[in-house]
Amino acid sequence: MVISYPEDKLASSIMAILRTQGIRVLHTLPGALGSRQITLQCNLLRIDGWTISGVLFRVSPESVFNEEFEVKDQAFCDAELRAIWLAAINLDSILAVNKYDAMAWFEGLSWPTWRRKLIQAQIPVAKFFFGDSELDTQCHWYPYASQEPRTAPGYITKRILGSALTESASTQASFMVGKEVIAGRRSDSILATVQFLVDSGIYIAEIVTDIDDNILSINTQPTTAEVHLRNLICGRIAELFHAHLYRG
Amino acid sequence: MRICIVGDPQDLSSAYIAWLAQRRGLDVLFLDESELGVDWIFSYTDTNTNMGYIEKSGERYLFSSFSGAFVRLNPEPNLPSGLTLLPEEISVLIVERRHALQHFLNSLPTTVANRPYSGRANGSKPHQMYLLAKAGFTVPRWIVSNEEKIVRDFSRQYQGAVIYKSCSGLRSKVRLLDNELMRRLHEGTSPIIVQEYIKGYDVRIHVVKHQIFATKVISHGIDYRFDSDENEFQKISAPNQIQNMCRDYASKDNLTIAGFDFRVSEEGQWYCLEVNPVPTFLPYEMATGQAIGNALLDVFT
Repeated sequence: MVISYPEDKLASSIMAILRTQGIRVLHTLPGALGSRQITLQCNLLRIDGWTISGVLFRVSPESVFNEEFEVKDQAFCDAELRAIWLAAINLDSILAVNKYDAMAWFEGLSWPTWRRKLIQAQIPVAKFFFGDSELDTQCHWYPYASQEPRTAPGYITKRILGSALTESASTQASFMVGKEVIAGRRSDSILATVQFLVDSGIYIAEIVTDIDDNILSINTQPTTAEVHLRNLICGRIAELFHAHLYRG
Repeated sequence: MRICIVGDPQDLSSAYIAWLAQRRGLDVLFLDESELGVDWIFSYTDTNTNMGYIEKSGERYLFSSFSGAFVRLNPEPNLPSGLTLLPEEISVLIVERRHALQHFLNSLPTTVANRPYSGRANGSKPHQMYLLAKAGFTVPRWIVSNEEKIVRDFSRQYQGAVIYKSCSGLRSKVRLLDNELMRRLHEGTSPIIVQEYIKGYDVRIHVVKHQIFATKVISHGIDYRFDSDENEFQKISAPNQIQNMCRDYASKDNLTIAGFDFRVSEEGQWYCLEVNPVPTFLPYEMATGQAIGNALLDVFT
C-alpha cells in the first residue's frame, strides 16, 4: 500500500519497481483514504479486501484524509484515520516505511521530536536556543512545524512563539536507507544516528549536520531531484519490501 | 519549594493542585499558554537545561528552582491579550506556540505531570490496545472496520453483545451495537472500533508514580462518563498483579500520573480498555476521599 501525492517521484518509482517484480501495489492519495474499505483485526490489515504486508507512508500524518466527507465531519474523520493508520503501520505483520511511533506521529514528524530522541540517545546535536535569547538577526530560525530554516524573527515574535534559533549552518545532507548511508558524509554522529533511527523503525531519512558534525535536523520524508540518487533510494526501499514479502 | 502550573489556569484540576500546593506552603507559578511572550517567557538550550529560566512579572526563576510542573493544555487556547491577527496567522501562531510549549515541557529538568511526549498512544485506541496486550494486559477482543459484513460477523461471535467507539482520542460515547451504526456502515463511513462487551463493572485505576488508587464505578449505563447522575464510586483494592502492570506500563511510558480504565467481568477477569495520560482524577477523589492530588504533590516535593 502506497500513500503519496502524485508529484512524489520517489514513491512512484518504488511502485514501478515493485510492480515489475510482480508485487501487487495499491496506491491512494491521502485525501481518498477515508473512502477505502479498511479492516484491522488480529495483527492483520485489509484494504478493499486485500491483506496488506507493506506500507509506504509518504505524507504527513496531519494531512487531510477525508476529502470526500462533508467539511463539518472532516476534523473528526481525519483524527479517526490518523489513529487507524498509526495502529496499522505498527502491526508486527507490516513493514512500514517508516514505522513511526505515537510520539513522532502525533507531533507531526516535526524536527523537535527527532532532536529530543537524539539528545536522549546521547547523539550530538547542534546547539539551539529556545525562547528569549541574545542571538542576533544573523542566526537561523527553525520553525517547529517546518523543515526549512528561515531568517530570525523579531524580538516580540521570538518571545511569543518561543522560537528555536541556532548559529549553526547546515553543511551537507546525508541520505540513509535501511542501515546504509547511500549519499553524503558517513561521520560518527551520522552513523550513530542511522543506527538509532533504524532501531526506531525509520528506514529512510535525510540527516543534516553542521560544520562540527552535530545533527542539525532529520527529515523522514525526503525527496531528491537527483535522478541517480533517487534510483538508488528506490531500489533499496523496493529490496526491503521484497525481502519482507518473501521472508521465511 | 516551587511548582508551576502550565497551560490552562481555568482547568479545574490545575486550580485544585494549585490550591493544595499553596496549603502546603509551596510557591505556585501559573504559566498561562495564551500569555506566553507577554506575561511570561522562557529561555534555555535543550542540551544544557541547567541554565534555563522562566521570567514572569519581572522575576527570573531558574529551571532548577522548580520541583515539579503540572500540565493541562486547553485544546483551543486563546491568543495573547490585545493581539489582532489574520485568520491564517492565528493558526500559525497557535501551532507554533503549542510546539514551543511542548518542547519546553519535554525539556524541563524537573518532574512533569505529564510531559507532552508521554502517553501519546492514547491518540489511537487500536494502537494503544495493541500495546496494552503486548504488555500483558487482557484486552477485550476488538476489530476496526468500516465493512458492514465484517462487523456483522464479528458481532455474531458474541451474540450481538458488542460495543462500538471512536478510534481516536477524541471524546465520544461508547454504545452497544445498534441499527444506527449498521445504517452508517451500509451507507459508507470511516472505520470504527467494535469490541466484545464485558458484562460487569468499571474500575478506574490512577497511578501516581508508584502509588495506586483504584475506584469501582457502579453504573447502569454502558458508558458511565455520560451517565454521571446515577454513578456510584467505591474505593477498592486492585489485585497485586494488575497494580504492578499498571505501575510498569506508566513508568515505561514516562507517565507521572495515569488513569487506567478497566472492565471487571462477572467472573472476576480484569480487562484493560485504555490508559489516559491526562486523567480527570477529581470526581474519583471527591467521591472516595482518595488523596490523588496530594500524592502528586508528594512526588513533586
